[in-house]
Amino acid sequence: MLDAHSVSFGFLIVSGLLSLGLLGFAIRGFRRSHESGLAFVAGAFTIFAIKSFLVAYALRTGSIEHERLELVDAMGDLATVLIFVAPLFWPMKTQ
Amino acid sequence: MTESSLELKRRILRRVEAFPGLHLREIARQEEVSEALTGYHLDALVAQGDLEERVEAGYRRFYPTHGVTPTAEERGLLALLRQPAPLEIVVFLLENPGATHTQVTEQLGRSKSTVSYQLQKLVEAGLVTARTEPVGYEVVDAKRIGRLLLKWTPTRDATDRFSTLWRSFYGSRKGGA
Repeated sequence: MLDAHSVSFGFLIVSGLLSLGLLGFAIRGFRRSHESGLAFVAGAFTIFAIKSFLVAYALRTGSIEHERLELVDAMGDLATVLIFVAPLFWPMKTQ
Repeated sequence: MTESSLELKRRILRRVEAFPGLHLREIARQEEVSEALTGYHLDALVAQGDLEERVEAGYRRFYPTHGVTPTAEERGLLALLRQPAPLEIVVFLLENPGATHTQVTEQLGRSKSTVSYQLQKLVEAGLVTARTEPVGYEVVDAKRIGRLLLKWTPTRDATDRFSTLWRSFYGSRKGGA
């Protein structure tokens, strides 16, 4: 019988790997078009992947106490969302 | 020629290729556009050699003039044009030969750096040439490229579809995806 920690660990690893795949698409898209919005997308997926792997590692090893882990999780999510929406508000350089 | 106008012209060409001998009114009816607009595109297709027109029993009937397989060189050009930005630029330059960098930037709503990068790629591929007097850009062998774009829709791979998805999310802001 799988415990909740193991299931969470599995989900986090899958999320991290999917994020790395999408990061690859964003980097390839940016290298093709040089559109700055895709750089932000790549940044957001990088943060999300790092967060996923970090939380998975902490869950597995118990190296970070629960409250701090929740803080890292929440900060990672916030950073990801902020980077995603940044191009909508950031005054883009046109030359 | 906007992308939607190019798309209509492409649809008309494909319809005639699928049903050789269609007449103007029938094509207009099937495409649900006016006969005047249909006639405008058909005349352009005849002028560039994609279609042949014959008047039979009082009807202007249209027939395709080409085969249906792209050459290796044409496939290479289509691969370059599968991304939205270079495709938009080439379509714009076909309609506005000699347009300047500023005009391309303003009309397409893309950042100057993106347009510079894409124009450089198109010039290096030999698809576009940069004029110095007067300053501007134009498509090399515009007639052939125009015909190629009408005949074939450039296919987009997963990376291009991913980029298009985010571009639609960020909208047409200068510098945005």
